[in-house]
Amino acid sequence: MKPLFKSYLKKVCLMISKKRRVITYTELRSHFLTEFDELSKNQNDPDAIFQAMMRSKPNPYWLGYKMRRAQQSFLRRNFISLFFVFGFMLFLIVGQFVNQAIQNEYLPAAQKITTTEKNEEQFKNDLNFLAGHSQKDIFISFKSKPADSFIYDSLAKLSQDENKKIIKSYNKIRYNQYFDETDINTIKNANLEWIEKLQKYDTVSALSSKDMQEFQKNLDSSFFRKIGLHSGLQGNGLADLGQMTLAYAYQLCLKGDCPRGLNNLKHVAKLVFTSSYGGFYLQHSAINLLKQESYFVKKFNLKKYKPLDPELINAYERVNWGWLGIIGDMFKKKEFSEKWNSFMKPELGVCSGVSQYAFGWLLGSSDLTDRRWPLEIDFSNEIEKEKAVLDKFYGICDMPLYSKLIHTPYNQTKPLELSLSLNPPLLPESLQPWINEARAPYFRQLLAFYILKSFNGSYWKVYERLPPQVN
Amino acid sequence: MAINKELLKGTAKTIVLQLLSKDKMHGYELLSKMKEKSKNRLEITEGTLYPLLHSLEEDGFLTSSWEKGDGHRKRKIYSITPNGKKSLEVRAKELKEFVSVIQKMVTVKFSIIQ
Repeated sequence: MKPLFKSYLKKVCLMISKKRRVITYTELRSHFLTEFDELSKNQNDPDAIFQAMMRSKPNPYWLGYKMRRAQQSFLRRNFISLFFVFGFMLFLIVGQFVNQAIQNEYLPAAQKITTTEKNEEQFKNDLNFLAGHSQKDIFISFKSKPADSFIYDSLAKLSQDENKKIIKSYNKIRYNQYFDETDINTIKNANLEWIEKLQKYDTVSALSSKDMQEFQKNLDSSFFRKIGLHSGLQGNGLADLGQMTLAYAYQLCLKGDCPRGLNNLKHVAKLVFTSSYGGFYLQHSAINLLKQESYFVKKFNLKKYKPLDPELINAYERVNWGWLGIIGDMFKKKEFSEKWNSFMKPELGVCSGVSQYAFGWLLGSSDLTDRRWPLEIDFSNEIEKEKAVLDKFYGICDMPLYSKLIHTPYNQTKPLELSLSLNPPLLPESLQPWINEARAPYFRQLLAFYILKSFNGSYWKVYERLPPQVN
Repeated sequence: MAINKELLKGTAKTIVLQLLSKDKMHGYELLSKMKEKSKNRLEITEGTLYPLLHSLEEDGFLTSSWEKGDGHRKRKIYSITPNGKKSLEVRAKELKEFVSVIQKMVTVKFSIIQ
């Protein structure tokens, strides 16, 4: 047989399953040879016959492909179609299941009003108590010199290992966990004098780190970037600053200058309080910093030193929780409550509640709760109402970046560039692009409501735990 | 005039089953018979015939066996199965009905044009 024929048949067989190759080869070879014999009866030139035959044959790969398909069973032949049909059915079933879960479980839990009249009364008492005191020990109302660059530069001068070593040694001493002379020497010799210079500054915006600046340049509304920003703002090195400040106060106490150390500690707490973007987490890290003052007073027996009134700190801590409950309920009712107008002041902690609840929920969910896939529930009207509630707070809390983020239209075409990520991560980074945008039908809404449900915590427990005389 | 390939697509299986219902045949013989019966108007090639034969065999309408032909050449001979015969009956009925409907429609069309 001519090599040309052999090569043609081999090409056909390349496309056929190994099991059927020999049979198919034999069958087609027999066909071609019979055809050749028939044509030879009318023509003597074998080359001309071969060439004429080859011209009339279809593309060998195409023939092989068609034969392979024909040799498959019905299920195999229609596997792709069946796969898509069953896949689509499963997709719809899962969609229905998720919708049911959202409507029957997540939505009622997320929308449950948690505030009682008693809670409101206790909360109001605290606000009145705080309003009756001078806030200058806790809050700086005049913001002109942001300390961000100085803080990040100073933290960057120490290596990560040095930072960790100082914080670890301080915590071992503070919580009496088998510390030794090495830990005390680490604190004594730590180069933390730069904390002293923070006295020159009167605010921290939490927006000046490299990550935050980069983020603001490429502002878009990708879900994980927003959540990443929110989370990044809350950590953002300021938690490390708090720990360093405590270590520095301890160092000064060891040197016999405790009041100076505690003065720095209070100043750093005040700086952190000024950040409108820090949210609940940063406010609490500042409150905890202030609470440490009493530890130093007791530990170093500072009889002449007059610490802050613990009840003032406790009341400030409670109202931070309380605002979460109050603002949370406004969002659930989709209605701004004028009732609290006279207390809505940054120095009374309202902004951390706004930042934590409103932005945590709205930033995280507004891209996920509209309808992008068939059968998804469209919550965009509800989200719009919540945005309108949020708009009322912009005059109270200075948060232009959040305002811009909330109102930045959804940008699906922009590729995901994660410079910020959640810590601990909500999802592995490789999965984030699939949940992000609209690529994970149904589950995106489930995730949104899971976030919302997690925001609807028991914020009033701090009041329920109060001793009877305060109640 | 050659018959339009698109028209042939839907009826090729019926034609093959019909030819094999008369006698068992190998692929080349089938092709030759088709050309002969249609007076060369059915332009069916190996690319259409063999996938079709293999698919009919896979679906149980045809069965095959190997026989030695001229010069001890092995040939695959196809014959129709009882299932194939049943399928042919159904297909033939459908085709008959289809042709009659098409004939009526085309006649009506012609009458409108005229």
